[in-house]
Amino acid sequence: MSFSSKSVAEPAPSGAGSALGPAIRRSARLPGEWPDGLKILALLSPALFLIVGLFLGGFAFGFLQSLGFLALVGDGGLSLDAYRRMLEDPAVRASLPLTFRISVISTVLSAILAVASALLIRNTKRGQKFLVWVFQLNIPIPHIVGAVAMLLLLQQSGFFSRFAYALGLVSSPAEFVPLIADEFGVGIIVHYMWKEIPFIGVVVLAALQSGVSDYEEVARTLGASSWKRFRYIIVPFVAPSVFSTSIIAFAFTFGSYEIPFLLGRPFPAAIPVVAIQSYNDSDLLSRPEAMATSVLITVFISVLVYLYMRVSDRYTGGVR
Amino acid sequence: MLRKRKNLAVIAGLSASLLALGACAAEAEAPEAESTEDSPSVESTASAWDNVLAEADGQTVDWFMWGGDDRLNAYINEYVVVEAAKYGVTLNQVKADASDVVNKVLGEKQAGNLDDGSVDLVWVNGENFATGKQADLWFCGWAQSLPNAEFVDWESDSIRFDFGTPVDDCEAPWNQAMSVITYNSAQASAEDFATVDAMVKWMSENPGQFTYPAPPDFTGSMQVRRLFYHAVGGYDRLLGEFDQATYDELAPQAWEFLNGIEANLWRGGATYPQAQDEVEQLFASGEVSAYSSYNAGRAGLLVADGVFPETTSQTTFEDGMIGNTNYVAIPFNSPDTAGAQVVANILQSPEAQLRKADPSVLGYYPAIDMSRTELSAEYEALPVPASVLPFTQQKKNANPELTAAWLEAIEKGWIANVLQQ
Repeated sequence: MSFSSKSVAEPAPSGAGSALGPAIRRSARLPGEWPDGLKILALLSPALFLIVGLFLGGFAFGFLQSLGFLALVGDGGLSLDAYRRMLEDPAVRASLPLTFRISVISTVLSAILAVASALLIRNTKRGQKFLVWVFQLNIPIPHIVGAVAMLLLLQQSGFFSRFAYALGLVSSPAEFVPLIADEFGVGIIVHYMWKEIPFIGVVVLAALQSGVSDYEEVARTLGASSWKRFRYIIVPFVAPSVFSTSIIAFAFTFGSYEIPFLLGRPFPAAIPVVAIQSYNDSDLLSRPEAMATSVLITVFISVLVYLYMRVSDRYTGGVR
Repeated sequence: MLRKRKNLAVIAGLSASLLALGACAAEAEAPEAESTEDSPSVESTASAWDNVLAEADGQTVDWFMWGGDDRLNAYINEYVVVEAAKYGVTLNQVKADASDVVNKVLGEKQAGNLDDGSVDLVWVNGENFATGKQADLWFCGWAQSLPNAEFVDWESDSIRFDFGTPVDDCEAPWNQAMSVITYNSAQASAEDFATVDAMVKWMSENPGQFTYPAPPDFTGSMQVRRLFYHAVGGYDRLLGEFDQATYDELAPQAWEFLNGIEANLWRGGATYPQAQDEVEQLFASGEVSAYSSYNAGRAGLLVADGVFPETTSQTTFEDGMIGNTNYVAIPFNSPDTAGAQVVANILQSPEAQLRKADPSVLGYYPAIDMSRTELSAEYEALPVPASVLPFTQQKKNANPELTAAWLEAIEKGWIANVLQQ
């Protein structure tokens, strides 16, 4: 931390340099000024400390605990027992297809609907500003609030169920189709889409503002069909932002705890819920297994993100 | 100039606190001098308590506790906090689940924080207490020395053992709890829950109207144990230390019974609520018409609030329901153990226990024997809402709780053999 405070204090002598303009600064380093590389490192150090220290440090500590390091009970030897127990645990086994299903479906559907809505909003002439405002409305709403709203709307005694009752479609709460704590995870997927469509859509909208219409105009004058304009102009323009936001959305849904806890079942539960279940197990022998499950989540997300980024690199790189 | 003034302030502060210390010491010594004549043990306890009071003055106690009950939070913040302030103790309620708190203290111990922990007092019992004991997390040797401990029946097994784990002077009782069945009398009658068999019959005639939260939820775990007792023909063989052979012999009957009733539970038993709050919501919205709970008084409050229907009523099985005691404990690394003991003593005072037992305030049952106190008549005169079963009736034929090892085995067995099937 002392390093970072130094980096804040340091720019004082170079203040005169910056006042003289960038040209002079670049040509000659003032006496006492740090080399650029070191300065950048110093300025980045607070952020690096947070990322490396807190994330990688926490991950390393969790990984060590998954091997039985610092265990409060047990023989204290390092082993892969926790991983073996985890892979044999029916709760973990059942959680994988569920978690994967929720993340893939909610991310893919959100991406498609986000692009479609962004294109529609872009083509709207009147009231576009209002539409954009409505579209972005739920971005600042916390996930927990959204989840409670889903509960009030979708559960068997919720708003839609009461509405169906008023219309005479159902005669008791049990007759309404279960959308919360259902087998497929509908409630969880709907919630994630509610949040992700505007999240991806806003970024796509921004990408569409960046001069894409000029290219479209040129293509149209050269006789490109609307499909060809979509395929060769719109898609390359929005693909990078759709890919990058989808990666974030996927990683979030895969590692998020509170939504599948509130809207899902105790079994099968999403894998972060399973990790917390074993973390809260009153038997301390379950602690390494909880850490092993968390390591599995982290590694799985990291691998997926890596693969996804490679695919998106190749895809967007090929078109450019 | 500025620095000099600061120094003066420090000196003034120091001498003031030295004076205060001196005063405390004098106060503490006074009773000891008199004690030589009559019973020394009582008097030395009194002087030890004076020392605790002196040390507690000025301490801030962070009390970590489940905070899901608004009325309980009001009782803490509008009454206990005020009482604690009279002793110079600042009480700070921190809302947290007991299992998280035990994890927190455990983490502090792992990190080498041995004398400056963030938790001073925890509301705890059962498994979480046992986990803490397993890892040596509790400060011990104080609970039976509290002045108000004289009102506590420390001879009783239901006080001396916390879910089968010996208390060993490591926690002080705060409440007693009995489980009851709460039902909507518009849809069922007390006879439907006279016995477990009667309830099973009622469930088959009214499918989907009953449920319990999935263990390890506290209430769900209790419900499963009570049905476990029934399925294996009584709890006698389950008392005492956990025995794997007994478990292996008896458990399959219980899983068969619980899987047998599953189809008639809410959602056909395909899933279970994750917490008792969800079950209460299901009852409030009419999705289920009966459930069991470990807190009878709460139904009365919810009726008064208009959340539950006026037709809410309560009963117990003729062969009894499960009861337990819950406690407050002090972590080994609390820097404010004296303040925490002062708070624990306030919680056990007849006034605090009477107020807490008042259904219009909370309706939590006393952990002390009210008949030993001067407030016995006031306690007997407390009104009981029509929807709530009086405590003496709740206690009838009470079934015991089991040791933490039994609890864990049954919870894990339920998850593997009922939930995951």
